[in-house]
Amino acid sequence: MRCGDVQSLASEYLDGHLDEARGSALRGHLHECEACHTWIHDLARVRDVARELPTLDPSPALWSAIERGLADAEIADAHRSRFWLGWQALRPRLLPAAVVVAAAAAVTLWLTRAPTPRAEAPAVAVKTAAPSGAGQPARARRGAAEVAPRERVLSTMRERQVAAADKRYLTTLTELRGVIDAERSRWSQTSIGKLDRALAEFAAEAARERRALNLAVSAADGSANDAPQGAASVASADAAPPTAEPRERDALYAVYRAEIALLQDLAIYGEDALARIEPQPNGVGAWPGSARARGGLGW
Amino acid sequence: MVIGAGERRAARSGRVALGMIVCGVLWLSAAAALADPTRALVVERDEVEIAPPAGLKVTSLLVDNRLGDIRVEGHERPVITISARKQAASATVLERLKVTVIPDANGPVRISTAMIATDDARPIPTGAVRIDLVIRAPRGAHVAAQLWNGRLALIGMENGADLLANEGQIVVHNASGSIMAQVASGTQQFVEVVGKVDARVISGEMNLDTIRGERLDASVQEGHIDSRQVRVREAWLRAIRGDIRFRGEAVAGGQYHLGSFRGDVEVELVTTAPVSLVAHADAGTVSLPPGMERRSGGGAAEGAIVGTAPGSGAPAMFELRSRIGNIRFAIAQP
Repeated sequence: MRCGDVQSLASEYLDGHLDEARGSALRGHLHECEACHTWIHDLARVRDVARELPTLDPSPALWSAIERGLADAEIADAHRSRFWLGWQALRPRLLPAAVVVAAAAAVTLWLTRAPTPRAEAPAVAVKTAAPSGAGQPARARRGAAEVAPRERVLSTMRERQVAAADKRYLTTLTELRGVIDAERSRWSQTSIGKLDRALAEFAAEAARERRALNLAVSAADGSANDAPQGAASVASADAAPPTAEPRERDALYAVYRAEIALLQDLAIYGEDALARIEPQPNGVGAWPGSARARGGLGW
Repeated sequence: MVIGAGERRAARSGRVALGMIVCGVLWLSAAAALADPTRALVVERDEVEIAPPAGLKVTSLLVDNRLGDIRVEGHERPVITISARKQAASATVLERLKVTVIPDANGPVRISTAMIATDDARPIPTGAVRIDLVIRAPRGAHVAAQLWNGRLALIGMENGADLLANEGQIVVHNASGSIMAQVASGTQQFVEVVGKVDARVISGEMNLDTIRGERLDASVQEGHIDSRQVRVREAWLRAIRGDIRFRGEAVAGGQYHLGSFRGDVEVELVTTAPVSLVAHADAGTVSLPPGMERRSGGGAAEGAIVGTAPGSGAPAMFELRSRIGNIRFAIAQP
């Protein structure tokens, strides 16, 4: 029992109308809560004092005034329209009807919204790669798509999921880059140069992947350093719409993951992290923590 | 007994209200029947067994399922069994769900799922179709598995794995080898894993229980890393926004790097080896065990706390960092 419950039950309790179970609970609360104990004690005193006050009879003039007011109101009602009379007949029935309609609307909305699967599976594109092609590398499938009409993804749910995944990666990168930008002014020129080279490699690779997917690429740096954008962003008006097929995103996400791995190290260990790594001629994939992260699964 | 006009009106109102409630219930039932996709779901279960040619064995398994869950279990037999549970709103759609298996005598066995296109294909709501795969493979096979959103479980495999999920859960139980797991949004759980673990989560929690072997590398961008009963030679645990908890054993000569950008780093250690500790809490406190000699400087970066604890053998090196958070280091008697 809470203090609010005591306040709502106090009147019944003081009148002796509260059942034994709730009365016991209330008394128990009063044992523990000093504030409620004081409050209900005061309330009982006020009640007792009020009982001792003399009963006053209203004057005859008051009753006359009340009767006159009631008569005036009834006369006014008698002159109202038939529509008002009909409304008065309907009014008592409207509350349950409104409750039913509201509940029905709420449940209908809930039922007709997109179902959330036990573990959320993607919606299915109208045209996906045939099973035999599903296992081919993303690049190979993209090549085939140049011959065949480009897949048109109609499922907005799938697009939303892919857009959310894009956003998650880009938001993470933006956050980490912000941390690094705040730190790098304290670093040596050698470290800053090394970092810039690494970021340029990531940016170039991400830009390549985004172009392949017909996703917008920032003109300023050719990277995905711009604000998060979803699958709906396209490179140009003439370009085919970007695909929302998750498999197509594998290479791009691998680049993002590799960059995230590097930036996380830098955020925690500062330029010490740069001292521990040596870029390899193979490019982005050779950065520590990213070699396996950036690769696909060997399809 | 004479019934007054008021009573008749009240009775009529009650009947009307009752009628409306009944209509509402019927409406709800109809809406539920029309809208609940599970009510009309068609489910199909298939099981396939693939036996390698005589004299060969399955060394690698590639699984790509973007339509549901994947569970890979190791067994002692040389064959691969694939149980697929397909689910769709109609038999027509179900027909379009395909599981492809490409056995290769000289390479990995490839298992993938897809929904094939048709000319009159219409959009299908999320969750209306799915394929869940349960694969039993020889324990010695390496596994590479990828899904989109769902649960990816690897149980009883002994030759490492590369596991990738966009959103969901990766669970690794009783496995060994070099295991890489990445989830963009979701959780990772490793239990009884021996070997090298490389686990990365962008947003979510990471639970590591009974990890032994050469190296543990775990990163979380937003979330906590909770590890217990860890005994590895080298550990790299990073969290950008989240706490790191490391409970385990330090190996003589081992290296342990635990760092959080915005979160606490907590180590509860059991070791007989001497410990060399460098703790760096930029905006927090460093708590060391009572018996640990504590001094500043000692060749460490400015502001770092350097501590040593005696023992036998090569020292276990601990580097603990928290940019915005506290560090707590404790050693228990083995």
